[in-house]
Amino acid sequence: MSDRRFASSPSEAALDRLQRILLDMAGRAEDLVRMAVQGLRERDPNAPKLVRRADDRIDELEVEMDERVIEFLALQHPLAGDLRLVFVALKASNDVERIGDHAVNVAKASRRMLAHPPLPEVTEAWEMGGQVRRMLSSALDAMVNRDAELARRVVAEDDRVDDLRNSGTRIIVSYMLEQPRYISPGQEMILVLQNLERIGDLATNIAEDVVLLVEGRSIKHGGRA
Amino acid sequence: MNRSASGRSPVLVAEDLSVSFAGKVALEGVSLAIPRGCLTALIGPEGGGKSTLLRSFNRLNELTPGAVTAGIVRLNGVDIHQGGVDAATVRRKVGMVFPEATLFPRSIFDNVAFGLRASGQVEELHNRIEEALTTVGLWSGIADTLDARALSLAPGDRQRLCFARTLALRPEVLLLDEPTTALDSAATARIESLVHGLKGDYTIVLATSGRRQAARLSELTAYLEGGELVEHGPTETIFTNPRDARTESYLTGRFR
Repeated sequence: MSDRRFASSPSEAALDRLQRILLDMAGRAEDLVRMAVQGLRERDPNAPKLVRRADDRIDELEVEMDERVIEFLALQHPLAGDLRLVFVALKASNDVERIGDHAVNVAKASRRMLAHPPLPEVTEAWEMGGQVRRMLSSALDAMVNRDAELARRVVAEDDRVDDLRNSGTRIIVSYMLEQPRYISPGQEMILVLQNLERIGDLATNIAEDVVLLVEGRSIKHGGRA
Repeated sequence: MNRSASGRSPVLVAEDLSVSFAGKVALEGVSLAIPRGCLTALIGPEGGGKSTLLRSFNRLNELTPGAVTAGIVRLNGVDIHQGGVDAATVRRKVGMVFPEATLFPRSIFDNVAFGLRASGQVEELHNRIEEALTTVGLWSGIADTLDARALSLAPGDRQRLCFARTLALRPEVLLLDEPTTALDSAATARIESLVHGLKGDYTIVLATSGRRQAARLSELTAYLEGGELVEHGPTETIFTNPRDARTESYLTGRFR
């Protein structure tokens, strides 16, 4: 008689499902950030609408995640690593949903900027857009591969995002001081940088939670003594 | 003095303890301190050594033919196997409740009085019995029917009566060997509530295959597998972030 092997236990199958929902959300959020920043750069009037529509699907997936997590907790009573994974997946899905919201904010600002003359290029914004997308992608890779070192590198990269925001803001303010016509689009662009910075913070949150998932201890706020 | 994981002084200490039955190893090289006033849960798969370790703490294993014990068990610092230490005295100080209610076909009163009479503690017998039955929450319901047959009680109440019989001897340590395994969920909840209420007044060691029961009740948890103490520590740590992959597998229900 052949040795029968099961592909997975019910709890493994349920955890796989949670992780797949999260990866789907994160992939969509990454696309959203890319679309929003590209739409801003190209002054594409259609981009804001596309971004908002894509964000709706992320919101739906977040609701699905909430429902699946409650169901999983009620039926499987997870412990140890399973418990940490559920906790981290639930928090990360909330972070990813907010990343989607911040991408929508970028798209809204870029739509308002269409009513004003274009600002001279602020390369920091494009760099920030690429950087926060990579951070989000790496944080999720770290989760899937249980790679705490990669997660720590993501956390360290957030300083670069903050630096870009500060230098970008200074440049925009200098444009606004030089040319009053840049005041309104300059304010919008500062909002864009703030939203991109928040996306970096949220990707950092996810990466910090990956360390909790892998090592069982929090590194947030410098970690507990 | 050897300090336990909780920082409190230990009542019981196992040092490099091994037990075998007819040459088959049931426990191997276990060292563990049971701190005073704490509830320590012993968890692990069937045959992992939970009950054997529990029964080592009051010398019950030696009643099994072919049992061989090596290593040391100390009760309040005294080796319980050394010459001059009486097994009956150890068992009075370290009481035990078994998986199924083990009652005699006698009255409720006689069942609770059994240990007291057997050890010659017959002064204030009635008071001691009332105290024990009050502690387990049975007194108000059966005070007028102490002559009724113990076996007429519902299963959950029979087990509570066993707790009362053990508590009547005023032990220092309570060993609970799967005390709810034969009970339904309502009776289990009442026993767990009783055990929760006893915490602090007694040092309790609970062997259970109910992981959730260990999580609900204990401050410290020890995981045993294949007769080996794999790891032990604060319950919240063992259940959320165990160090050993074997503990993780057991808690998540995955056995490869």
